[in-house]
Amino acid sequence: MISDELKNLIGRKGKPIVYEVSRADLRKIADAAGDRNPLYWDDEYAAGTRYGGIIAPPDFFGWPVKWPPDQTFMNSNDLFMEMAIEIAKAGYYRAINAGMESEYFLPVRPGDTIIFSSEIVAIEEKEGKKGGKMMISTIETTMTNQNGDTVTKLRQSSIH
Amino acid sequence: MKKQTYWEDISVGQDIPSLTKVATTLMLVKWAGAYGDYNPLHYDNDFAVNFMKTGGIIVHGTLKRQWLIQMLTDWVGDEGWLKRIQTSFKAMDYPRRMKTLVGPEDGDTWQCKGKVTGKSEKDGQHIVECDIWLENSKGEITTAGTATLILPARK
Repeated sequence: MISDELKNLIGRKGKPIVYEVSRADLRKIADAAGDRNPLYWDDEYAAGTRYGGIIAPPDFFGWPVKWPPDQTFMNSNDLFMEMAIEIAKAGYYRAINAGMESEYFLPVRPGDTIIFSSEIVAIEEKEGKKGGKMMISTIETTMTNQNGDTVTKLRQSSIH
Repeated sequence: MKKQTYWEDISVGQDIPSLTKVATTLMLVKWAGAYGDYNPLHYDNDFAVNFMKTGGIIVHGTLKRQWLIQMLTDWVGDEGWLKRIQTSFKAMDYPRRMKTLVGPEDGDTWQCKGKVTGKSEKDGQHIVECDIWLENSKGEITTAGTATLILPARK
């Protein structure tokens, strides 16, 4: 059984977050992952490919989404944290990333403006493998670019 | 140009060229900053032990996923397109601690691996389906999933 407060969170949408993609951002992701693919690093090389220039690695967006300025970790101003705090009231204080599924439609390039729109699509209580109960939450995020085209859809689940 | 893989070259059951990775505490901090995931579970050992009960800081699932993404994009090359990837984080991985500024302690080395499970053509696209997974030094699978890729065709 989940509380009415939690049921009411299903379908809740986060305030869209607008994010301008810089070359430095996408290179930080490639660097931190140890990915030397010249599509992310070498302008001259990338210009000679079908992309015609540098692109971002898949999944460079961040989880759950890039946060607005001045966001600290435990700020409930974020859709995920708002949900996590409500789930904590039901006795589930911890949260861990359970899985992610993305679909990629278009490349992301430096200079793109991406709008992240997130929605809580599921909160369920389940029996864990070791007998105890747990909550599973799922947030879906759609990223659209400055042309209104969908570039990526992400579905991310957490175990609480 | 890098070497390009074509749809015709791929057969069901074949292995995807594997990719070897090491995670250190230093790299987790880099990943936290680059990705924007500031969960202290990945850099604050006391928080990980006392609150999260994970026994120590753990490698971000998102970093393990990015390694698998790199394996796939390296494989399909500039003309290929990663269409979809699903990853389930099945077990925790522990980064190597830094022993000195220039070197980590001994610990896990991870292998990104994959196998082709299907090939198809749809709406003019040449599609490959795969199982993908990450193995730790003991050969245990700690992340597993599936991916769909679009490859160029010769014909």
